[in-house]
Amino acid sequence: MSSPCALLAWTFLTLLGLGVAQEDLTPCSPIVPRREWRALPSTCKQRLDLPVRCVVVSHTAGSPCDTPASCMRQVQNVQHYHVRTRGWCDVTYNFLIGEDGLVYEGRGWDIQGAHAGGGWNSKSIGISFMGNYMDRAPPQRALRAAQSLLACGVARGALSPNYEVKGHRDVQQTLSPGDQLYEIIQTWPHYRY
Amino acid sequence: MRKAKLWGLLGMLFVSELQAAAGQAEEKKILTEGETLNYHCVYTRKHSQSQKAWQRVMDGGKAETLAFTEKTSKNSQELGGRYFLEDNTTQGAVHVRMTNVQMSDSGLYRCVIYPILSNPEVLESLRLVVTKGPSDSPSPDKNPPRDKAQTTTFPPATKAPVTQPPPKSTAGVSRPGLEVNPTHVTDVTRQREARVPTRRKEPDPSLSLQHHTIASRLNASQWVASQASGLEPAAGGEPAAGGEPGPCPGTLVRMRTRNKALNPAEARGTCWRIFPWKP
Repeated sequence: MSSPCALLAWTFLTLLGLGVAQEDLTPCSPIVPRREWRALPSTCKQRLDLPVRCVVVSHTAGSPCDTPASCMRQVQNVQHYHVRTRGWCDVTYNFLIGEDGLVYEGRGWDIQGAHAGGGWNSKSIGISFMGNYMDRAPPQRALRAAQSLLACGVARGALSPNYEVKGHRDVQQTLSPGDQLYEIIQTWPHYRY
Repeated sequence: MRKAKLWGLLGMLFVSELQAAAGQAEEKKILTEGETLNYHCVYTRKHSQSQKAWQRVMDGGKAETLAFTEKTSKNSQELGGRYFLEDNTTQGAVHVRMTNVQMSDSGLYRCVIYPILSNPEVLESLRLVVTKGPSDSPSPDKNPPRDKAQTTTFPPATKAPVTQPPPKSTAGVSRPGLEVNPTHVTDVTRQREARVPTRRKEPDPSLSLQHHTIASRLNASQWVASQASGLEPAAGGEPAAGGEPGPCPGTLVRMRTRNKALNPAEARGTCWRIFPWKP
């Protein structure tokens, strides 16, 4: 007699608990899928053990783009460079952010990236802002897109709820993500040095 | 009564949320006996100049330091018996290697900054679970056995004492009374043959140690590996840049096997330490 009630109670409490854990209940905002930006097929096999506890933020140090059309071309350029010139199995980042305010799917949540070397790649998601942010900052819409992506990661169980954000220069010897962007991410709530 | 249950559930949920928020998350790795743990402890650049240590955390919270990286060399290794640390400061990761894991190795480990403070700075935590090897029941293989090398782990998870880890007090690579000279080898032979009837598992004849060759081939690597005589892999004598295996330090010897069931890569490259047979 009490078991369906107990089940209901348990379900209610679980949902309540999940609600408490989530930072904000916005659904995942659209990510431009690989097919749409005409990605070369990936030959990467190494999967990620989810959820990961870290996000590494970098910049491509290449050209920025501020329209969906130009960003689509730019993501292709980045992938071409990584695959054709550098010989990697795919673009090295899990996701890329354009100044058009859109997120572009790289290796995605499930496949290990090659963005931060050694042990970090197997324990983190790498997101990269397309552009060079030493002397200028990305626009607000790009930063919002990145934050939304990370919230989405938590909602999907790809990121731990207490994930940590690190700058690329925190984990490798590099200027990435650029002085200006690095200063910004240090103010993010999940940033940990 | 029901109200109490509901409050109990609510309380549990609250506590679990708290635990999720506070403290360090643990990684988890599951291995079978005999395998080698390869683990990367990552750290940010603020620790690139620090030494790191690998600890085991006992029930009750007390931690035991198993190995730590040396101060002098940047990419350093620390020989601690079965624990090897290699700190790659450019990559921001310590490569931890634990050879020949046993079920007794199951537990909680962590990478910390060395020297270790009373409130240690923990880089990463790892929960290691070591399961029994496939010696008792035929377990399905992930890879189809193209050749037998895939199906057995080396050394196999038998009940032989060869699988026991050496006592922690062993400092260097040499053990007292184990000089590999012809006299001692004969002793080992006699001991081994005397104990044959009491052994619980018959050794594979293709694995038998050819004692008569030991005396004449102490520096070479022409032996056939044997589990039953109490051999365990040890460090040292890693292949030089040219690919030729280097000489083994001290009382270690290099093994080669004709038995295709053994993983040839494991057997050939390793230096082996001989210790007395204990039934």
